[in-house]
Amino acid sequence: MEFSNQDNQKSDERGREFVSLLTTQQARIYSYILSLVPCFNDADDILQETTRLMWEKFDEFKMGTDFLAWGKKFAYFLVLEYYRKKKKENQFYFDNMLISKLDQNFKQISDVSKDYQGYLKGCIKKLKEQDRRLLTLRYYKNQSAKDLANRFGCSIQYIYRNISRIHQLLLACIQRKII
Amino acid sequence: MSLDRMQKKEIMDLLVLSLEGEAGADDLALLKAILRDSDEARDYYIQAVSVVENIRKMEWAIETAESLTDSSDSLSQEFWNLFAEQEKIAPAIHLQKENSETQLIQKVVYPPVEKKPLSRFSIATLILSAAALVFILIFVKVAPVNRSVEVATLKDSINARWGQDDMSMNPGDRLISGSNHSLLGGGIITLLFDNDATVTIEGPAEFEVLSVDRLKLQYGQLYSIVPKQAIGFSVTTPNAMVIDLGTQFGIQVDFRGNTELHVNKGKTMLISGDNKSKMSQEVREGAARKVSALTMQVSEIPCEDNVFVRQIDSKNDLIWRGQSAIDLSDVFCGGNGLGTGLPEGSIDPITGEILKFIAEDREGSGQYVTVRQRRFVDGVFVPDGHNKPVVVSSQNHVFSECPPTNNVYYFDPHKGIDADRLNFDGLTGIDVPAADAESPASLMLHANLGVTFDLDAIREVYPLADITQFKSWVGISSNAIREGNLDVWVLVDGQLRYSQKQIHEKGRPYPIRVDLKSSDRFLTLAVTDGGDKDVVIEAGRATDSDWCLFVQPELQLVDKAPQ
Repeated sequence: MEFSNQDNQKSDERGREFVSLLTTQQARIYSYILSLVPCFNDADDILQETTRLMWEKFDEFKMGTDFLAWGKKFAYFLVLEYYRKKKKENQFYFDNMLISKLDQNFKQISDVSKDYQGYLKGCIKKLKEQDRRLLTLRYYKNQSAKDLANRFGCSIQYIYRNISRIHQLLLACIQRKII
Repeated sequence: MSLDRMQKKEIMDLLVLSLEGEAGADDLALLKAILRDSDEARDYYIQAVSVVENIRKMEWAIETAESLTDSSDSLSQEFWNLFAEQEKIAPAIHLQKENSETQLIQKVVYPPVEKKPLSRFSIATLILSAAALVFILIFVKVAPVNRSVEVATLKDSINARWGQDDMSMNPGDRLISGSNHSLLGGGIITLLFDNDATVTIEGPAEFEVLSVDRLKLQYGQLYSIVPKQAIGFSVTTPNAMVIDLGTQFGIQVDFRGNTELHVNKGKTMLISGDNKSKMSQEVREGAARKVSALTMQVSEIPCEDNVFVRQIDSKNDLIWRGQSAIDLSDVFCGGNGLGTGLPEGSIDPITGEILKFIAEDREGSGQYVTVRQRRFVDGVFVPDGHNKPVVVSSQNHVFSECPPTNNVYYFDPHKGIDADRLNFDGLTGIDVPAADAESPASLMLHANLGVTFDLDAIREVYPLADITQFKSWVGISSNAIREGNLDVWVLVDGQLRYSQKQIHEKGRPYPIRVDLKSSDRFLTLAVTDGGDKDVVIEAGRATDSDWCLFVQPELQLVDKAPQ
């Protein structure tokens, strides 16, 4: 009984460590997956599976080493598996060469400022009111492009195009702040 | 090499579509190719992903969220204008077709049916029903499916830029009902429906041909001309439906979904609102209505006459918005009368060739010469009653009242230059050029000169309008060196319709109004020297200072009466 309590305590502690590490790095892992699989739905699934695998294998993780790099390995192989299935199903896929290249590029620019969110908020404040409103409706109110198209009486394409334009503005703004 | 703005835009466009699961195979293949080939592209792409993801997970300030009331549907017009401007230069974005969420055919499990004995009547009914069913099945298979039949033809287009790369259409191409939305990024097209309704659409616009008598306009503007046989033709918009009752009307849908209906001829039925509260009203000629996208309220607005493109003619660069005047000085310079001609122009009255005008006394040839390089200018001549008959058209119409002249001309006939003016001080009225007008359009016909316009050739490119009048101001240019003396003549098919003799005073304008009938073919403007003494010395010629200027020489147009 005493032994079992110790096990539980250890397990709880590992759990807290895992959650703590994951909290700081999950966003980066997700960005990584998203850059390899540019589709929210599929990337969400892969992130879920990656997190599950990471937890399963967490005993193998050596504390003090790079948690992000460790997690990305799982994500990388799950992405390869994802595209293998796509290829089998004769659907569109990124080939291994491109995935490898993207992985390299991600490493090169992965040293993103910790203040990214702060910079981003600053950039969003600089947007025109109507651009900010559209962004908020899409990402805060989580309205789909279709909902927005209906709401404004325009086509979905134009909503997407406009969202793309706002993203370009924000990226340019962020780049000016970070670089 | 760093990426340019368009490359970045393309990457972000493709990424946004891809993330939302809306990218087609072509989009994904393009994205893949871009990323495979360029290290910079991959860097930008990864940063773009990072921005998108960070926006998604951002903690939005509460005040931002609270400011989003339900009434905040109205993005500013400026926003949409900028948006529209961007669209004009933006590459096409493709969307995957939506999958219908509902299945049309579902397996239905019925409870077991209690067996009953069949009567003769039941059996007969069953046979007939089965026959009817077979007929329906065969009919459905054989009869054309309404959603995929050809219903209209692209009649003409000017600078049309389609939103989809695979949507390049040429005049003569057929349109299929129920096909996907067509995005017209820019330019103008005219569709001729198989029931003879004509719809001219001005880009940017998004529309869908629904059937032979229905069109959906998502946004943009169109002008519809519906002959009697096509009465009932309808245009639907996001918040309204306009049913034609034999008419011409323009519809404009802005990017927020507000619909405007302008009825220029006949009458229409306007149905507005959603399924819960539909309203209908008749809108007649000269009236206009606006249906608000937000409230569905219908309000009266002024009817616009010259906003919608009613007719195009790519061969003549014609974009007619219902303007009521054709500028003959523009026609003289090779234009269609709406300002498409060259800024200046002159025609040699001896050869009929285009040239740069010179100022020098020269003698006429006694011949009427046609002008090949001007579609609507029939010919030019130097009038002199000594050389009878004085021919004034390619059909040999004769100017029998032409007085004898010295058969000399000084300038070649040309479009008036800035310095050539008449003095309108003290005159008022809608036809009087504004005092501050920089340079009202004019035509300089120094004595002795004549020019003939071919009205039928003009009518050919303005089939929707009748030419009802020639009007102008005429006089000796204030820029002339001395007082002159000249006679002005306006002929139609060789028949004298207007004359003003012995004009002396420089700058004094005389109004000309000559009514025209549909049977009138040639309009001739001629200027003769007034018959004064002619001495071959400077300032002694009968033509001295006869700088005759026709200011605002225009053909008046009215909508053609319904056929």
